[in-house]
Amino acid sequence: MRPICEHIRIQGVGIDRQLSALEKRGFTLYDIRKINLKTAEFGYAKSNSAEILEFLSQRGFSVSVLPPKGAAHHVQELRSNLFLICLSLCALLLLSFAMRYVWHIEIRGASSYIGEIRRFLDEENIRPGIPAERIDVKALADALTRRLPRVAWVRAYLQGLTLCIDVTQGVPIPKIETEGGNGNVIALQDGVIFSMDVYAGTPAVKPGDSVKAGDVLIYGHERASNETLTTLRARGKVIARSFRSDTAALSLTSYESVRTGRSETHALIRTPLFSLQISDSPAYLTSEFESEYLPLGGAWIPVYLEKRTVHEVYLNPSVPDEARLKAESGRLAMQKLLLSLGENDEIIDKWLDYSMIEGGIILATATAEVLSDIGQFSPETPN
Amino acid sequence: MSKNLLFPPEAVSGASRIILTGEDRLLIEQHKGLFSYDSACIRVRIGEKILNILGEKLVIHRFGADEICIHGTVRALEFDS
Repeated sequence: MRPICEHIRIQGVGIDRQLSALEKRGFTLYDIRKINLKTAEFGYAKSNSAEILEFLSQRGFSVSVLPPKGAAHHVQELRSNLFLICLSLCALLLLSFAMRYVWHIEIRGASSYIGEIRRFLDEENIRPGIPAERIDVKALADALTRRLPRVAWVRAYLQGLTLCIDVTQGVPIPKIETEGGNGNVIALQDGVIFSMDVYAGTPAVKPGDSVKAGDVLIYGHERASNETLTTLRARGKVIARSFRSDTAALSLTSYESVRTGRSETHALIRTPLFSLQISDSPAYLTSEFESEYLPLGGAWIPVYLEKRTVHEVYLNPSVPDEARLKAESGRLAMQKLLLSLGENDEIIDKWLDYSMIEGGIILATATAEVLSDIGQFSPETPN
Repeated sequence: MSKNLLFPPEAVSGASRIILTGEDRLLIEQHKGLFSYDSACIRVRIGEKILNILGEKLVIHRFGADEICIHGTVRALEFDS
């Protein structure tokens, strides 16, 4: 059998002669490949490495060791490492043994029933470490479904080393709303009826009708097949086209503060509970101030010094950019209008109108045509 | 003597043995050394003569004291004195 080989590349003159010389010394060479007249590659048994390399270097050859190649090289190295082989085999055996058991139980979707399910599993001796073949997943699922009547269904299955139990809870029947007694559905605001969905009661209007706020949209009664009239709570969705608007006003005149040049500094000692004025503050008619804080200390209550510089100012009236102010008021009005609309309101169209009010105020009005549910239950005596 | 002792004749006389398998494997036993080597021509001493192995992509797969194993496409074998 071929031993573990080392491959080298040699460069020099008279390669053929040296190869013969190596052979005469009893070395077996493998995979001899001539690259060119002065370069060749070959392999030899790794145990002869020192002697061959010394031989070649003495004869003036330049030698470079090539990386090991071939699967045979790696297989041979592995074979020589018996400990590694035994360890790998033991690990494989352990793994195949361990995979025949369930090591983890996962319960999903059980919420308040998880305790009940765990108790049931304990009673049935289903615990981590149980052999997988002892678990009948179908019987387990059936037993759990019978044991938990409020659960819609239970699914149990094995996933690798885990026993998975998926619980889907039943949805309780919703409570039918009967609060407020019988009554009609009336219009919250003016509009033109776009569509109607009547769930209970008799419709009073139809799509295309104009209604005013307070008009009855759905009567709180129904006529049965025997012509008797039954009163009930009217329910339904009435979508109508209506107009909503909102306004925003901004003044054309604004003031900016201009410093006169006079200023004074005074100090205060401050804590979260009180403040103590050290020096008097100046008595300016209009002023603005800047503060600088310096911490003084304090154990549980911080104490700091506030140095306040007060500047005397006068208010200078200024006329701002009218176009900018108009755009700003329009934006504010539209923002207010959009915030006042409901989640389900559908905007068909929207626009802005501007007007000037006495006193130099710009008034922006945002109007939107929307489709919205204008019906509201009114607990009145039905007609 | 070889006939009487039932030994193979090459083992007794020391003659080289050349085994060509197909046209891509050549085994030479009991050679006397490598004379020259090239991917197109390998010259091996066998006894008093030199064997020229002509071919393409010739590689010496194993070169030991007892045998030379050559892989590659062998086109011709010639003996030179």
